[in-house]
Amino acid sequence: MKIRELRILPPFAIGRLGSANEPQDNYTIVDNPNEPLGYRKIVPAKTLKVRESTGEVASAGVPKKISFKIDGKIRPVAPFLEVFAVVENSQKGKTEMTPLNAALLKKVGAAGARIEWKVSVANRKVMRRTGNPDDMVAANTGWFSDHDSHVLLGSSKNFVPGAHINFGHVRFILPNKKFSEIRLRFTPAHGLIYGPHRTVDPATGKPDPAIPPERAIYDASKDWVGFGKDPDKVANQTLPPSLYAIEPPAPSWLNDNVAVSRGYLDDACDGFVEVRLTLPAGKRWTATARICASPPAVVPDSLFIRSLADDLEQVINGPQVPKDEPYEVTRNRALNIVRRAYETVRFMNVALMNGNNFKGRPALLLDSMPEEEAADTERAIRPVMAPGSVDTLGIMTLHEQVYAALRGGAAPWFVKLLRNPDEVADFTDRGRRKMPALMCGADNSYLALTWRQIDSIRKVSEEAPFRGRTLVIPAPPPESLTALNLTAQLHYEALGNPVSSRPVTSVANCCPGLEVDFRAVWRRMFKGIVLREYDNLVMDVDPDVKSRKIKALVGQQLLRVRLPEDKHLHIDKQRQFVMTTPIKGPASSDVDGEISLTTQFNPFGLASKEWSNALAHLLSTHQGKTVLCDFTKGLTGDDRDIPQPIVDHPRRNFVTIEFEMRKFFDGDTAVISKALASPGELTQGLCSPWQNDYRECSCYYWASARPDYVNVEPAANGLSKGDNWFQKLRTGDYVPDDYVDSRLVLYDELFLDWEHWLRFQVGGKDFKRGAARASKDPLVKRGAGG
Amino acid sequence: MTPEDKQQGPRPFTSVLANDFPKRREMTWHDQLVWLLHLGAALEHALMVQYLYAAYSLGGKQVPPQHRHKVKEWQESILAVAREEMGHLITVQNVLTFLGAGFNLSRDQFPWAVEWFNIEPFCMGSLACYVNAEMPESEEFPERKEIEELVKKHLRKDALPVHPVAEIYREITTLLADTERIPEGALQPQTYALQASWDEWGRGYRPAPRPLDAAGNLVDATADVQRQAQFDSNILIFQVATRTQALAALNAISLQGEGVEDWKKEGEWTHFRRFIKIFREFRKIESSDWSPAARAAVNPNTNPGPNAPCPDGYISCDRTRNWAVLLNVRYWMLFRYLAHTFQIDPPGAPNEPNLRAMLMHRVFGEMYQLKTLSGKLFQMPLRDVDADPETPDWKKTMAGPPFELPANSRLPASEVDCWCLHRDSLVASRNACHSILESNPTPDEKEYIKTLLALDEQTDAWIVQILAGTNATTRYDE
Repeated sequence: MKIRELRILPPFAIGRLGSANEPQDNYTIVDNPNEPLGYRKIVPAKTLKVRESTGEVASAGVPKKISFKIDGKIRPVAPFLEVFAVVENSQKGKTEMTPLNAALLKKVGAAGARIEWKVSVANRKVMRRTGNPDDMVAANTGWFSDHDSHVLLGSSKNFVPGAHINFGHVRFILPNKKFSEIRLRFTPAHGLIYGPHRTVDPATGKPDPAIPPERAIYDASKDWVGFGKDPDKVANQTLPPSLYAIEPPAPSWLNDNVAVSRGYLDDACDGFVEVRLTLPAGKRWTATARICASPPAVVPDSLFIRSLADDLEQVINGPQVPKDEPYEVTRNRALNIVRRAYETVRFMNVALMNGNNFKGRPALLLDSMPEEEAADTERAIRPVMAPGSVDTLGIMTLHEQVYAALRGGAAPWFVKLLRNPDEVADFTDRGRRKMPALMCGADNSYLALTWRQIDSIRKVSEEAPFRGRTLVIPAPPPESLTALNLTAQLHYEALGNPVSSRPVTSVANCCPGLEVDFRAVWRRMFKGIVLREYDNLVMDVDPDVKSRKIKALVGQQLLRVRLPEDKHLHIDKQRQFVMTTPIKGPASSDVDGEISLTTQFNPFGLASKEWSNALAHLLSTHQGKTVLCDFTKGLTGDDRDIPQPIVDHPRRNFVTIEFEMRKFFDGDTAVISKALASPGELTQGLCSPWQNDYRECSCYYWASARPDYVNVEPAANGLSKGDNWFQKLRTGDYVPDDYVDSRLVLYDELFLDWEHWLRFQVGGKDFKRGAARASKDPLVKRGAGG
Repeated sequence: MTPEDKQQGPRPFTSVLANDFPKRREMTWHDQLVWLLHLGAALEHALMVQYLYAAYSLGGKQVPPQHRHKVKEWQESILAVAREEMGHLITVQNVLTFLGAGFNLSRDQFPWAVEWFNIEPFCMGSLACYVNAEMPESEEFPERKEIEELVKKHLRKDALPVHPVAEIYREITTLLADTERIPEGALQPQTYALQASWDEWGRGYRPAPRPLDAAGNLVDATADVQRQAQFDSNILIFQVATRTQALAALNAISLQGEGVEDWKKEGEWTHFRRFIKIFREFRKIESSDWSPAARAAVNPNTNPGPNAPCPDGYISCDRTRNWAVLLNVRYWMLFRYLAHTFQIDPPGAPNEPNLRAMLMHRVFGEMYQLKTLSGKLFQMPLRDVDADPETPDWKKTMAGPPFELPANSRLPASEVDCWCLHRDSLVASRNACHSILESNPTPDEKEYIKTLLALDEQTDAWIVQILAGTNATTRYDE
């Protein structure tokens, strides 16, 4: 038996911020057999308790119940990362993947081997905005082999001397007899906000209560403080723009788009965990995994309709479901998608999200996709569905009916009602009413499922009528953990890790996202150039690029990708991969007509498509291979931000260059390639601080992760009633969010005491209602919190 | 002689319908029109159920793999027709509302024999009947004679049956256009807001929007879009506020069926055009070796005792009959919710969620359950002998969904009683579910029933809240 490779599992672990000393106990979520349509049941699971003095696992047990807070402080999710060895078992004649432990090391003759770890994380949020490399905050432990806690101290050239951001800590868990596996634990930080080094805030003349002296670490003379004061100096805006804490009044889009940064930073981060095993003779193996530190999963018993796991599964398995995939596997996936659909809908105030007026208040003043659409297309706001028909409980019940029917064996009849990823900017009534409805995608247009999710539903729709009567549709077999099964590795449940540490609980419609801004990984898919994460603009070229032709692409747009065998242009549309999609809307003169929605700033009426779906087909066939890329030529100035059409005849408006598509994962692993994103890049597009995004971002981005409508119940008028998640006082009378209503949690209240205000929702209701402590926020009256 | 009798004389009706079933003396012309519309609604309802049964019967393990794609296309095409029939039914209900008349959701009150409204599985014979029902009266097409012979053979008749779909609509529109027999006072434009709208009921089932050319005219649909349209419903639901609108609406739904004028126009997939296409395709691959549909009962029913009407369709297998009863209850629930939407008080504030729309969602929810239950019943034995493993597959007959109408098809007058009636239906469904649970269901069947019970529990809680808001007492003990 010999070791061929090492792997760290899970390949992507999500830590979640919180200031409680004790990390979150392990739990999973399962269907409740007694409530088939109800909320998933939170089930305590085997939890590892690490002895602080030694770093070993002292005990493992299943807690009696799960709590998310201790004394009002949120328990951080501190995931374990386990080392596995891919071994060649000559006796069995096969390769196996098995946990690395003392017994295995002995078996392979590596008893005296040295095991070391290195963790490198960063927070590039400020650098992403300012463009100044000195604004990167990075931490690197260097290689270590002891079992002490290693603090991840993030330093930046633009901090005052000696100042750091604490990104949490990592610990190599001491193996013992009972728990002999090789593992590391990552404990994220407390979710603190850091800010400018100054004694008073010039805007108020008083100290900033959100930034105590020990966290006032950023040199106030540097770019981040006051960033945005001169809009002309904002060179590389994010999408959405101005994702950072600003000087009041906020939000910027309601105040002439003035967005002057307060200079806040947070302790979220992302990066790599590496392990190396070195034999005394010098032979060495290494392995890597990715980690990130994210906000807490405040709705632990619900899953979003499209998760990071869905997108990664599409990368691994391709956009199409194989014909020979067992029916029960596809069906299970389709059922799961529909279930997640109603788990998402039930947290949305659907009437408001639909663009309805709210009790006479104009919809244009409230945040929704129709409102965004109206602003982007400079057209009048229109509700998506018939306004009378959109009540949360009514719509949710309809989704539940769909789920029940599918569960009963009906073939999905709604495949054509699913939004195709090429239709995300179809703003006709027909286009907007497709599913998923009312939510935003990573491209800032209407959300579409992944190609793979859609194909799963299509396959079941086609096969179900020919199944015949089956006594039992078997549960799909569990994925077997092998070196080649990347899906199994992606979903691996390390001992002690709650489900909230896994990609299935991370949203995928990143605009910008919550756990990670997944758009960031696509920027370097074409070797040699760096694209902007949210559209097709070439921002930079790799340092080792010598070609003048490629260097000239900076500031140009990637219009289209073609296959190398299709050098001529007269090819089927199916074999062209266009990076934009037309924006269509209803024709006022004919109800059956559609028109191109152009504006002064978008004269061609085009919208960028999100990368995950736009590149899915190419990724499935051309990773590591060459493709033909068509770029604009000669774009200058403001034209660079205007999506350009492709003109093939009579004169091309593009230049064609061959590029190699990078491989998405490193080697044979399920680790997102280092070449695609360095430490800090997966989170750089997120809000700074992330608490600001909870205030500014509405639920139509990720309703089951950032809920809107909670404590929902049927009312006597047959409609639903409930609270706004951000309502300070729970009255059952929903308060719509206009960003300034004092009945809602406002920016500074959140910055001061987010752990109080981000209330966990279990069963659709405030978790342990009334049992939380009063807020420590001086702005909050006693008893006003819930 | 009444003024109506005087009016009847100078205007002879030459149609079969008017000749055989003239207006009765004691009826006004308004009564006659309402009766004709009720007939029209009943026909649409009957056709819809017939097509649903046929569509759901398609499929099964016995379909050879090489034909499955085509069979699925046929199923989609027929379901598209069924949905459009639902649209017709709703439009007719709207016209009835416009005339100040009550709605009608029956489908068995016909003055003539309706042997060709059998609920039966898809086969060449039944398909020929559908073609016959929808085909334009005067147009010639190559297979006309063949179709007629197939129909006679299938129904075991010497002559073609009356198919009054077009006939009835012609009668209706002729009468409605008559401003003396149907004066303006009989029309109620103020009911427009009470009528069902496409926006709420259409569910997006209409052709994809097309670009406009420079002159503002619609560009023709591409060949691909036209081809795909045969599987897509174009649900026509019209609200009407004027006589002209009502006539146009009735004309449109009539054309959608047989397309007397427009069926040859490219892109127009009338019902006739869809069925004849299926017929031609089936003809090419038809064989005695396989069947595109389950071998199932004609007119399945749960009528107690084998001496009731349609004895051959009686579902004598107890286990199956429990499911059939459940389907019937869900069918009644659907139509009770639908009827209630036409009766409930109009919405309060415009453009705000309202209770009528919530009832509408329930209608669609029940459609989904009917789909599921139909699929199950096509896989369940009609009789005990069909459940016997010793019986060869080719001899087994499956049950199929009975779609039997309730004994009580009228909604109460009072709002509170309507809600209580819905609760009654939930009790009936619960009882049917428990019968299934007590008769050894498979694990998957048990899961489905539990899910249905959970749904019904939520619905009941919802209705209880509504009733609480009315301060009414319930009609029975909890």
